[in-house]
Amino acid sequence: MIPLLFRMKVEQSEKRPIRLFLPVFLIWPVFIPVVIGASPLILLAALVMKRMWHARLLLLIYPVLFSSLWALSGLYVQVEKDDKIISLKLI
Amino acid sequence: MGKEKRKILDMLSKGKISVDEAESLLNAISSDHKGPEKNTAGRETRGSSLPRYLRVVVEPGESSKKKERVNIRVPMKLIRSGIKWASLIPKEAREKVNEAFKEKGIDMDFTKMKEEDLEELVDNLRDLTVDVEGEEKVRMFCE
Repeated sequence: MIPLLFRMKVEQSEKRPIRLFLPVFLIWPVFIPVVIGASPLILLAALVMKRMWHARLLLLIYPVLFSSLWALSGLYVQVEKDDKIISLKLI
Repeated sequence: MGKEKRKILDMLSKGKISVDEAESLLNAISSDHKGPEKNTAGRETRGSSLPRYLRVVVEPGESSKKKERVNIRVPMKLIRSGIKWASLIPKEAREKVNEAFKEKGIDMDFTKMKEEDLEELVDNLRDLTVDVEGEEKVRMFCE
C-alpha cells in the first residue's frame, strides 16, 4: 500500500516526547496527476532517443518508481544515542 | 506399507543392515515422501510464511564505549523494488561491477543476472541470519 502518513518521534529523558505526523497522502493527489501528465512527454523523449539504452531507461523509470513508492510503507528507522531516541516510520 | 519400507525391514530381518541404519533409511524415506509444502500460489515453502521485513539491529558491544543503537526495518517489497532499480544500471556500469567482483576473487557475471534470479535470492533471504560481534553487535535477520 502507498504510504499515507510519516511519523517522526523524538524521545528524550526528562522531556516530553515530540511526535510529528506528516500527512503524506496529501502529496499524492498533486504528485500523481503531474507524473501522469508528464508521461506523454517521457514517451516522446524515449522515441527521440538515439541510444536504445536511454529510451529503455526512460520507459522503465515509471513502473520502477511507482513500485518503490508503493513499497515504502512499513519502513521503520530508529536511532538511539545517549538519552535521545529518534524514530521514523512510514505508515 | 510402501515397497521401500518393506525392503528396508526385510534387509533388517536378514541382518544385512543394523537397526540404526534401518532407522536412518526409514527417516530419509519419510522426509522424501513428505516433500516441500506448497502455498496457495503453488510456490514451494519450507513450512514458514514468507518474511515481510528485513531487520538490521546495531547495538554497542560489551567493550564499546559508544552507546548508539540503530534499529532498521525494511519491507521486503522495498528490497524487491530496489532490485528493479538495479535493472536500470547501464551495461557499461555492470561490466565495471563484474571487474570489481573479479578483483575481489568473485567470479560472477552481473550482466547475465536475471530478475527471476534476484527474486529467488530475495525469497531465500528468509534463511539469512547474520551476527557480527566486535566493538558493535550487528544482527541481520528476516521476520
